[in-house]
Amino acid sequence: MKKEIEIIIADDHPMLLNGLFQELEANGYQVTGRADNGMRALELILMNKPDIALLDIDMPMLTGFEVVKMAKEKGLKTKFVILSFHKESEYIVQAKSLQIDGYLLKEDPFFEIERCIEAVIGGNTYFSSSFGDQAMELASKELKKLRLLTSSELTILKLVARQKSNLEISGQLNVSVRTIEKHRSNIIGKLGLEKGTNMLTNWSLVNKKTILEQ
Amino acid sequence: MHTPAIAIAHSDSEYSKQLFEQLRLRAHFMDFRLANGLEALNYLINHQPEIMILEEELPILSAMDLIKMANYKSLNTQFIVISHKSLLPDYSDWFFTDRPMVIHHKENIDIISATISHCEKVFNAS
Repeated sequence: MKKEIEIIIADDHPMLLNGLFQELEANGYQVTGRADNGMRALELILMNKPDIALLDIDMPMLTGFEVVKMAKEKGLKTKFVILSFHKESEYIVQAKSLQIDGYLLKEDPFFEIERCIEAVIGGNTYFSSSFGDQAMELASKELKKLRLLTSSELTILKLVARQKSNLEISGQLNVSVRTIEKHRSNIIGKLGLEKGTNMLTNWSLVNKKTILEQ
Repeated sequence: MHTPAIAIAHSDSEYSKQLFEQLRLRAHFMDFRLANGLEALNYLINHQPEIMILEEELPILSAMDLIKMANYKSLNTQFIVISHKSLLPDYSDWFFTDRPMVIHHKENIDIISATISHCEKVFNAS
C-alpha cells in the first residue's frame, strides 16, 4: 500500500531533505522526486503528478504556498502537505485559504507524518496536533471574517494590501474617495479591527497573501 | 531614458525567432527567448524582465498562470499576450491589478512594436 503512494518532497535545506527522504524510504514509501527549491518542486509536480507533495514553505524562487497555488490552478489531484517551522496563525490561515490538505511542523515525530499521509490519501485534511484547538479555531475565525466582505469590499482590501492609497483606489474603481473611506470603515468593522489610521493597512500587509487568495 | 529588457516566451520557435529579430531591428532591447511556461516562469522570477511577451497558451503553464504569479509576488514586469483566438480574451475582471496588453498573433510587426513602445513609456513613467 505504502509503495503505491508516490511522493515528492521539497526543502531547500539539504540535510532536512535527505533526512526526510531516508525516513520515508525506510518506512516503505516511494519518493519519486526531490527538490531543493520551489521552482523545481513545481516542475516535478506538474510532470510527475504525484499522489502527495510534501513541501517546505520558505524556499528559493517559489514558496511552498506559491507552488500549491500554481499546481492547484492546473487542476492536479495531488494532495499537498506543508512541512514547516512556522506555527504562526497567519500561516495556518493561508494554508486553510489555499485548501491545503495537511500542515505539519518540522518538530513533529515521523509517526505524525504517517498519520497525515494516511489521512490525506483518505480524502481528509490533517493539521499537526502541535497546533492545538485554539490556534485552529483562531485561523478559521479569521478566514470566516474575510468571507463576510462583499465583493467590492474585497476588491478594495486587495488594493489596500497592494499598498494603494485611497486616491489611487478611487481612481482605479471610478468612485469618490469618500466612498472608499466608507468601504474601509465597513471592512474594519467586519474584520473586528480597532479603529486607527493605519490599522487596516497594517493588517492587510500581514495577511496580504491570504487576502490575494480570495 | 532607460530601455527596458524584453523576453519572449512562445512555443513556435520560428515565430519567436522572427519576432525577436524584427523587434531588435526596431531598436527594442530584446533579451531572451523561452519555449514553455516553466522556462518562462523560471526566467521571470530570476531575472524579472521589465517586459515579457507571452503566447497565451504556452505549454505547461499558460500566460495567465505566469501573470497571476507575477501579481501575487508583486513583480513589476509588464506583459503582452499573443493570442491565437479570433475573439481576444477579456480581462475586464482584472481591474484590481495591472491588466496585460493583448495582441492577435497575426498582427503586423508595427502594431507589436507600437504596443511595446507604449509599455516602455509606462515603465519609464513608473
